[in-house]
Amino acid sequence: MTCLRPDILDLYLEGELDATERRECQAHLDACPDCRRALAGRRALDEAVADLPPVEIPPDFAARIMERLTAEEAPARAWLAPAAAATGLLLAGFLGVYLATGQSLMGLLMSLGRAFMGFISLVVPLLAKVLKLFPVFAKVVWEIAGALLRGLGVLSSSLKPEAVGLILAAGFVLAVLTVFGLKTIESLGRKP
Amino acid sequence: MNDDIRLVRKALKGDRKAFEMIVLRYQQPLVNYLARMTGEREAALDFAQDVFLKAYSSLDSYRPSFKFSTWLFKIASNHMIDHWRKKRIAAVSLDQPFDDDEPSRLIQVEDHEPSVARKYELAEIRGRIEGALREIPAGLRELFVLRHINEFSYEEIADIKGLPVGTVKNRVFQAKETLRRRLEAAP
Repeated sequence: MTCLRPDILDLYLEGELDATERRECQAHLDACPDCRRALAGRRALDEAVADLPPVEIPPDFAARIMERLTAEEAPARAWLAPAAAATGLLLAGFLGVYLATGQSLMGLLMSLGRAFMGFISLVVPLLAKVLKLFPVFAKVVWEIAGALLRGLGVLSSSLKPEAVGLILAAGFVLAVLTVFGLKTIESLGRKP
Repeated sequence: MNDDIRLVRKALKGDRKAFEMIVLRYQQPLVNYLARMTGEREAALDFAQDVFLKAYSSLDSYRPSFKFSTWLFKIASNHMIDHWRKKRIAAVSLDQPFDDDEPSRLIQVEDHEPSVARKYELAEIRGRIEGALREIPAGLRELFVLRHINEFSYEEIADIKGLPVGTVKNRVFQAKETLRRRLEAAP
């Protein structure tokens, strides 16, 4: 009597043999104590492996995956909301102008294009001139302000405090008189 | 299976809760598989996250004619292979040919030891089994884990790995014999 092969014993244990093979196997096992012991050993190993404890998973594992999923999706969709808002605003603007003026969308777009080009042709040369003159203008203002401050410094250091006070008071009176004088001239001009 | 398909359809329509249900359903078997493949719990948890994210991003490629579990484990298996290739771990890949001849001619094992049943006292040998599992070549270990820990059928494993069923059966048997020898050789 030939003993059963180990792979056949495994397939028998796993229920993978067809009905005929299974009957033959069972008949041999009934008659062969060696094969029964071998089968018991193999079954014990199968059960030991199946009985291995599951790997411990943190309770918030699924929640962490969902968070990561949201985080990885967010950058990809971040541009969508501003783009959608801008498109919506643009369309609302077009519709508003169309309803208010009755101008067609194409005409409106052409008008907008012309207005934009006009704006650019006006602003760009002006901006260039400003940028070109700005350093010269800033230098002149800076030098005048410096000279004034230096002059005041020299004047205040050469005068006594009483004299400085007198000059400031005179300046204040002169300013008040100027304002009132201007208002009087203006009111005289209005009267017939 | 139908429930999986229903959840996938809902997830594809943007229902996050449905995908979370899928994660909750498959996290344990997936981590069990990945932990036996990597040998490290933390790495298994990281890989499981990656696998679920990959599954989510390619959910529209899932075809309901296949089982969702086999589709998910196929992603996991490919993820492991990518990892090994990147790390250049000298693991036995399934690309590496095995000798798939008659199993009884491949592995010469004395199968009739009288003490074998007593040797496998379940509670005592868990650690030894885990240790012995880690020593099995990765390609064989993967098939063994899918069969005996994740309890996939041979046909499902053949689907996951793209191998003939007979080849899967032979390799699972080789893995089991290797495990037995390691356990028997251990003091």
